[in-house]
Amino acid sequence: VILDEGAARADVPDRIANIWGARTPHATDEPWPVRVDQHLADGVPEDAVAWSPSACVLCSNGCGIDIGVRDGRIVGVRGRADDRVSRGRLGPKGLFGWQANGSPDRLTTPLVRRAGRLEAATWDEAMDLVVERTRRVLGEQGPLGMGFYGSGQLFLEDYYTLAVLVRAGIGTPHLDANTRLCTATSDAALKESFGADGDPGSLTDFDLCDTIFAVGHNIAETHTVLWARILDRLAGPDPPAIIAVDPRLTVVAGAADVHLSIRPGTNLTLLNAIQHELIEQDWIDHEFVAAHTVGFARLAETVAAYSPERASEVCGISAEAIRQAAALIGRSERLVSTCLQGVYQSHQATASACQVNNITLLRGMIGKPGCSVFQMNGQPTAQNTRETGADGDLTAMRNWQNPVHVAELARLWNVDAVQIPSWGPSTHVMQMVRYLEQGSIRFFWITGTNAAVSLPELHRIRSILARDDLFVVVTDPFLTETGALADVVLPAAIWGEKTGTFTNHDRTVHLSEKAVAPPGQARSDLEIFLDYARRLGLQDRDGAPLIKWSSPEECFDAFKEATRGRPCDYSGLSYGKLRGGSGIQWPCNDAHPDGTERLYADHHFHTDTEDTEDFGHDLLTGAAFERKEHAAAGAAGRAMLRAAEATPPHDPPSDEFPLTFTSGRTAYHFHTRTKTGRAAQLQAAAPEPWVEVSPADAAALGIAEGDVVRVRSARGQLQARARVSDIREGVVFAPFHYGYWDRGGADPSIDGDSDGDGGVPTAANELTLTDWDPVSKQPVVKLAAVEVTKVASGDGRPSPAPTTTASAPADGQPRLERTVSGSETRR
Amino acid sequence: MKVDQAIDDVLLAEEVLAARLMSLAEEHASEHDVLFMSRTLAQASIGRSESLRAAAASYGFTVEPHPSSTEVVGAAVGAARRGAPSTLTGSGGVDASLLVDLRQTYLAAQEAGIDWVILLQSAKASRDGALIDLSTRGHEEVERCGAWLRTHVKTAAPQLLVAG
Repeated sequence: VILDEGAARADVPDRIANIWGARTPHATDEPWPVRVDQHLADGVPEDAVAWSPSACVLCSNGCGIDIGVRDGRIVGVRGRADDRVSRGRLGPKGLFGWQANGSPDRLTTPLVRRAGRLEAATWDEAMDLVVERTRRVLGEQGPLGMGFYGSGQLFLEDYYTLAVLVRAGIGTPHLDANTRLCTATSDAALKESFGADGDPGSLTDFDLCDTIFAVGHNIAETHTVLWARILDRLAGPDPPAIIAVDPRLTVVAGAADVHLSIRPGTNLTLLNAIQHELIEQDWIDHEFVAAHTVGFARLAETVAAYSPERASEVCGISAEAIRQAAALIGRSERLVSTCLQGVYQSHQATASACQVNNITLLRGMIGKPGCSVFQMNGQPTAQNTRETGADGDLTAMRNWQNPVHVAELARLWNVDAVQIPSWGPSTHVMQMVRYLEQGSIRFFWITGTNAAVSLPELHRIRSILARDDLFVVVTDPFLTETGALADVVLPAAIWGEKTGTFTNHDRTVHLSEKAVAPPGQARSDLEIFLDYARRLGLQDRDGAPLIKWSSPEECFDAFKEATRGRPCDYSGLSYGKLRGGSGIQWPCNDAHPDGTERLYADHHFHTDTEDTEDFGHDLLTGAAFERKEHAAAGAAGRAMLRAAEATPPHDPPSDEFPLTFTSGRTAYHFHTRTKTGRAAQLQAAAPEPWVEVSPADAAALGIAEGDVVRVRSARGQLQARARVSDIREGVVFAPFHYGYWDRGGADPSIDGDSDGDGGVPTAANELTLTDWDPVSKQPVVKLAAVEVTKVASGDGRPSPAPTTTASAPADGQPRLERTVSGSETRR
Repeated sequence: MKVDQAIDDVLLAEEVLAARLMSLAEEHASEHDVLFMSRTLAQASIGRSESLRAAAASYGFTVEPHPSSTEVVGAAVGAARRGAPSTLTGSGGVDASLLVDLRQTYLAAQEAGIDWVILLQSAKASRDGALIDLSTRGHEEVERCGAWLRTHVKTAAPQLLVAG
């Protein structure tokens, strides 16, 4: 990469204090300027570094990144100036998170449980055991006794190998991934409205739009480089208007023209009311709606009952604010809407996400520059889990209810079509957990995800994973809380240590080259799955090995063939073409050899019954539509406006639990901190959990900044220091990053009322309810009724919550030092 | 005119459906999606009954009060379990009563559905716009309830019967 000499260099010394870096303002008609961000370990001279091209894996933006290598070790990173996603920028997690690769506590050998303890073992010992238990379960229970739970963190090649292994080899429908917790609703909503997965827009639409509608999406912390992109518009001569829906005063909400701080659990009511107002004021693109959608009459009938006044009561905001939001949306000429976990992990998730699609369609804002809807992803490779069929989807966006699609896969994999489970949808993880609980799944392989911290109602999850009749395999680079419960732990090679591809939320595919060797005996997931398939002797219908590839590139080429002619067409891509470039967006094929910036530019959607990825669902109940119902809807290439009535959430506040708990992220951490907790700068910026309460609730409960508080729900409790923040009254927030691995090892045995004897519960999911969206099956981890009590005075010590983000102290609270690099020393 | 009879049939079928859904929620509270959705759908069923009773009253129909359908259903659920095929109950350590109860509730939804069809047809022949709207909506909602139960039966059956 040659640095653009004229580019602004972001020499802001502290990217912990300045999360989004220096501004490079621009106008709508100018391209987003380059700004190259770089971080090298102390004392490493720039000219001693060899650079290896990749993209960042610490959120779904997928910023182009070069990995700096010296003496066989990763010593830093820099943004790629020519990258279409980031134009050289990196966020704090990208700048510092790579240090986890070199962490001294990486797993370097397999571990096998012997006499109750995990002990080092050889690969042969570990894999022989895994294969022996697989054979036993297959013999006793058949394929339905086997479950696989993967990740949104691996590469496309790992996922596709897993998908073929499980669907065509083992033949079980029990295959899901932790994308179920993050973007299952994105996937589901795109299918319900447009007929197939895949975000329609381009990230450049943020450069070109005049209005941004952010629903439950704290862009500033979840996608820091995208927020930097938006900040550069806000600092330019023609900034877009922003409407933010969030119960917290996030940085996005602070910058918004209208902030709708709604009561959690009321998204659908609000979105129905906005549509009510759009229709009432006739801010509708009638020509577009008539030509390119079906379902308007039913939608209009449904939202007619949701006046802003009625919604005002349900959502706890003023009717005037709803009208202002609708007016900005209704008068916009280039609208970009975006959703994330505030929609996906909340009540009636898919139904709500579909309403944001509806708003896009009612305004005709799709398939044109500056106009789109983003059903965003969270994880870097979530898109590939979905595309390859390593979660609830069938490979290359095929429809499990369409026998032609299943037969295509059977042909590709050279197996009988009946071998591929297609009598029902793939089993979602919460249902698998129920089968584990009932003992009908006896073998469970968890790859690259920390289920013992990230799934809801943790006391239940821990007790299930610890069952004697269950054999648990965990593949991970570290010994997580989940690994500590496993029978076999396999050490994984990660980003930077293996070659592969992945795809971000605007369909940009990057190639990530192996830059260094993995530590010890760690292996890539691809190698591990190939080894497992070989040892099991999985065969195709002719007796040849089922899986035909042995390298990432061969796997990619096989996947390309599987996608030919499907919405996510990779057939025009190759490692050679991706090498050294700036990322290419699928579909990429003979007709579009350079990729496709926007889907649906012709306003023809994937809703032909023969083509569609899914026949759809009733949004209230999740009842699956069948072929005849899809055909009867007559979409035939038109998008579907989907209507739904709002229902109350399932765990409402009560006398015993009067407050509503919601969980979320901070800019400095990812997931359960398995990587970011091992990067000194990030861990120091947010070293411990905290609990956010509003000034009014704090006053009523006698809580001051820094006091130790206990949050209790009907399921469990957590304890942390309080931050009095600008969160909506009646709502309590805690980050979900804080499990137990760095407090007394990986022992997750903290349960119930254990305070005072060493460990206190800190994981947000101690509180959450076992409940999921009926369509996407995404767990509802953003809503739980709780009570908050003060446990001890903070004695003037502030809570460790960052002050640079949504967790900043509320107006009128004591001012605290700004979070800066190395700020852990103040505590 | 026997429209009042058709209304009465719908009311009885809806009350049985609501009671079956509540029973499904109670009996299978560990199946969290069944628990929450059964409750939601039972509330919807009760709401339909209330709307129909109000409509009936406005027409001057007298609707007979029904015996407590909770008791009726309690007895029926017990009988169904006792008489269920052996493949569906208690074999191999896996409790398939979920499947039995989903199936019975599905049949209750089917019965309510056809009763709404009968009412809708009589409303059409009577050219009663308000009753047409009410029974069209009632029929659609009950069909949706049946579709949910059907979806659930389809996904639950393989694991309960094959994985053993």
